[in-house]
Amino acid sequence: MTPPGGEQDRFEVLWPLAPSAPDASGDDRAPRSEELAGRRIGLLWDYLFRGDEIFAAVKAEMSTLHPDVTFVDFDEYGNIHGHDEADVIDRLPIVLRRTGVDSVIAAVGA
Amino acid sequence: MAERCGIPSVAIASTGFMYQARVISQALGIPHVPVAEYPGTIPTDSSETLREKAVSAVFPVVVDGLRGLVAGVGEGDEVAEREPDPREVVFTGGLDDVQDYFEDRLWTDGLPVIPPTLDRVERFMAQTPREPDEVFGTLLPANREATVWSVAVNGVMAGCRPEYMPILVAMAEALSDPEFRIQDGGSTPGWEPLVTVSGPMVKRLGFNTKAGLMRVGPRANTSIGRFLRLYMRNVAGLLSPPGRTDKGSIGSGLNVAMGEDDDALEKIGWPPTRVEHGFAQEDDVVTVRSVYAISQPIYTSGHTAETHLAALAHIHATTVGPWIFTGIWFQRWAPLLLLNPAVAEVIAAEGLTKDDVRQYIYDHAQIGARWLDIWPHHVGGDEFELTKMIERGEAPPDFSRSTDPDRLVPTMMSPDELTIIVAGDPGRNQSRFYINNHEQGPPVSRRVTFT
Repeated sequence: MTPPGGEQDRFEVLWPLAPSAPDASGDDRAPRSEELAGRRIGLLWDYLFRGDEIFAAVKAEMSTLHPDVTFVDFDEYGNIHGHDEADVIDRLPIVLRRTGVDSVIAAVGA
Repeated sequence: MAERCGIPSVAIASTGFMYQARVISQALGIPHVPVAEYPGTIPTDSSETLREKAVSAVFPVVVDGLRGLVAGVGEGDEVAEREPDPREVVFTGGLDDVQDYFEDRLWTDGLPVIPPTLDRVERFMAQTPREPDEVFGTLLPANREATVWSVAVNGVMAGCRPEYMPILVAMAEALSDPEFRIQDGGSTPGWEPLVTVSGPMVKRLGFNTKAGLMRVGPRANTSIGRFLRLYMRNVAGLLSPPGRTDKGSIGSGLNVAMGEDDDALEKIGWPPTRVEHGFAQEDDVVTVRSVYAISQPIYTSGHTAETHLAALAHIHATTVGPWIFTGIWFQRWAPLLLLNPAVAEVIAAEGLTKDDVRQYIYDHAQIGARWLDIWPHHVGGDEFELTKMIERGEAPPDFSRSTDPDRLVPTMMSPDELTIIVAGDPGRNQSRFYINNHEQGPPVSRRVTFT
């Protein structure tokens, strides 16, 4: 029992955080290859912070250095941070498959 | 999600959000995903600067990230220490030593805490039939389980009385509801949580519902309000030192718990919020919500409803302002009017109901549509200009009655979004609005069960 109050008292205190949730997702690491040639890249966007401009710059640079890389634009996937965010995310596996992409760039955190 | 589909991914974030990206990637089990850093502040860069940074800083990391040549944003961290058991003593020391120990670990809100000793925590647990390891939900960004035990520990620290425990449990349950979106508690608007309390417990536990009800002071209002923010820090992991997970650009001060004045309501025959929301008159109910902005004190005078309502509507419009564009964007809006009892009495004396007040505010609290086209640009969401949202069919009809950019549009999506709590100084005539942050922290209620 901890003594009540007073300058000389010592307190045995407990941890104020809470247990970390078990990692239910397992190993979600997608396989990566160093080869870029022929890749088809899907662009996911939260429709914020000038992602369209950043994507445009990335696409332009990529077409110069790796002309056989193609892109699927963000409007194919919808806003990943809008009022229907949950639906967009739920549909994403299907839409990613349908659009045939093998890589994804997601933006923008700001 | 893409990684879970076997598709290698790279993300892009600006400098100020790299720490948050790291924590979130770990919480979601994708620490290996690289994040390309955009150096600086995106909204204030010129188009030329933005392109230059995208090419020189973002592009190389994107390419190497897709090729598997860049470490993930959440990789390489130190291995987490073993987490203590709930009843395990983590530190022993004097009062000042305990404060220092907690402060060093960011386990406080900056104020001294009551040391959470086992006997104190057990006194809280004795006030609830819930099992200590019952989990209400997993809270991001820390990815921690909101347990009954953690509620008791933080309740002790906040200075609550043990008899508040059922209220704290209900608050933690509401906070853990996915609808509340606790993961957005660190967004840049810097919203602050608010708990409102309604029911017989308000009087029984000594909540102040009269003059100065939103001031720090009375223990029930103050410690319960403090608990809410402390729980968001310690269990959800929303930490506010610069560079941490709470990205509130400025933020605001603590909201104490707001109590509803049942006596004032009974006098004028208006229902309390709990009854309006489907609970019974005899129920005790807590509601948690975000507060993005608080209006100025709204003095309204006169013995006719119209004079009061016109002033209230004007201040609502100026408080919400163009931020209503976010309500349309996320299809969620939930302002709160803390209505002075004397003012409510004048309004009710004309036979007007709470619904009439809501309708009046909706009809008269208006701003120029032009601002809803301008403001999204400042916030960083050009796609959410009102004109574009109207074109996409996302805005309610009252926002598109004409194409005149100077037309007046509402500052709510619909009248029924407005919560009206009657409380405050019955000897004066001052009310206030508390504006929530769209889908982030909408009002979520829970019944409180006392043993």
